[in-house]
Amino acid sequence: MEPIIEINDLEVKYGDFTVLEDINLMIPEGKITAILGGSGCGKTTLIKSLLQLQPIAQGSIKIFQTDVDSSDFRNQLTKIGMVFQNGALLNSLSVAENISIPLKQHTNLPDKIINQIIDAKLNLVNLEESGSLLPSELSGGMKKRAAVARAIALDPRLLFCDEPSAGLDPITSASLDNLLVKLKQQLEMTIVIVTHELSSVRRIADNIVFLHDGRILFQGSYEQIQHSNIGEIIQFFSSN
Amino acid sequence: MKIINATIYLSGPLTKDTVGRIYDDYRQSSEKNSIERIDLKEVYRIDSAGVAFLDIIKSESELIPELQNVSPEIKETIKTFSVQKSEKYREKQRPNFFENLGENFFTSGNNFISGLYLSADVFYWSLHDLFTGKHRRKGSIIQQSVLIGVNAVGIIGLLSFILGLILALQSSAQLRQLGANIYIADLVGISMVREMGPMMTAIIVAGRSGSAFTSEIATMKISEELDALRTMSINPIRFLVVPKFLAMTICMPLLVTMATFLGIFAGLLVAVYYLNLSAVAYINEMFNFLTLKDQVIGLSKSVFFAWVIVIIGIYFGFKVTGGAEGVGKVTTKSVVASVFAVIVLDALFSLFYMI
Repeated sequence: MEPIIEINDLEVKYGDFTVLEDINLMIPEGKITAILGGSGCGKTTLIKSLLQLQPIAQGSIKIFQTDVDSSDFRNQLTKIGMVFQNGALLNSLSVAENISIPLKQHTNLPDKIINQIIDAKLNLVNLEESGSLLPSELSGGMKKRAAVARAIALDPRLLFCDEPSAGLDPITSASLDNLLVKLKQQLEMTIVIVTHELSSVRRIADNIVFLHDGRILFQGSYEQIQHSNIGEIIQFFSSN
Repeated sequence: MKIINATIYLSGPLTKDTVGRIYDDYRQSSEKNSIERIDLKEVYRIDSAGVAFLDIIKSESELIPELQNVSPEIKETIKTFSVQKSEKYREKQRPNFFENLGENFFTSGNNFISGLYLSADVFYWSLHDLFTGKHRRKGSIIQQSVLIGVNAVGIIGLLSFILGLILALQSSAQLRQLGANIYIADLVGISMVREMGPMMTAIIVAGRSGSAFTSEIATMKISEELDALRTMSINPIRFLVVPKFLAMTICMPLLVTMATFLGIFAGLLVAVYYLNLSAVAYINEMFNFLTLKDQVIGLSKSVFFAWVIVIIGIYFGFKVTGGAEGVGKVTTKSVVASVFAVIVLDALFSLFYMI
């Protein structure tokens, strides 16, 4: 199977400080890949680089076999969803309007269908009654769920989630995990999550990438990483 | 899509790329309200848009249509995305004209009262910290003075000079006809010292520093920095507002003095080069005409304007709700309210000194 994301010799810098270096990674299609690692190891930077939100110093990134630097890649963005760490909802629009943005911008669907899709997406994240609320009226966890609903509005082929479970109670976190698994199974979505919630990783991840100090230390399944004898990984797992 | 014997037959992919067209066909069908069955035998792929379409068929039909020939995979996707809309989003009720008017009246009243409480707080801590200074950040008044005063010297100086030129040119044309050229000194002098100097400076400072105070405090509030200060038992008024208040009280009279001098100097240039008066005559006439009272009025106004700008600026900053958009809104409100308050206060001063 062709990898959906292909990263070769990636290097990312903030000024003179190297955040990521020597990153070579293939992310398989139709799987949930978790990027694990301690704070500041470059997990979020890696995701942002994939979406060109962070300029890269060196290397190449291909998504859907298209170079992210090329002009063709712009057309592929509608197949990608992103859940930002703090939700990044547009504060001047209601939750329902936030979800409607990609549907109205990128499809020709009639309003009636769009409204039905919005209801379905709100229902999936248990925000049925919150469509008319503004983001400022939501709690942190609700904002996160609303952001997930917006990211999956177009049923993207590839979904990035930056700390999707952070700030959520265990029940909501587990239901969000179930939702991600459903999306993978039913829509064949490829999901890349950045997290340090091991319980979540154990539940849903098919593939784990472990980052440390901007480098990939490990790539494999949960069972494999548990038996890893790399010091940093043992320390990470024992402290969790 | 075709409808035969109350059964709607769908085929191909039922996704966001195809549903729009299928939905148009469905809407134009005369049998859409009498559908009893939905056949999905030839549907091989479905996404949330497809499920939304099925939900709409179900909700619009007089009977509850039954799904038939559904594959297990498609059934699972339908289960995930299907939603029976129980109620529409709550429509926000729009208040009518009189409700708006009443609400604005009460909001303005509440703003005024809250502003008075805030003023009392600011005055108390400013006076208190003026003598103790223990809780003040080192160099904070100087830093604020640079931001409010020094950095504004250029723009205020330039605009005051231009204002003086306009005043002098407009009045000199009239005075020349009457042979009363020398009175240009009185006219420019009194206008700049008592009215234009303080008011123009206040308006520029309101737009420049007042808006900065509001956005700074508002941003700190929405990012919970003010809460962080409170949890550290630090009073935000003392920590953030008092240095601004004291710096503004010092800088505003100085800026007004500079603005007045430059306005008068512009008048001198017009008097010398346009009306052919001597500089000495212009200055003598001005000194003879202006009194100490005029100076006191101009400078006392400037201090009151300074206080009003600070209080309004920080008041709206503390009142912010929402996110980035909220900061923009309160900043706009703050500038409008400051300029309005400065003009009203100026009118009250004029009235007071006339009586």
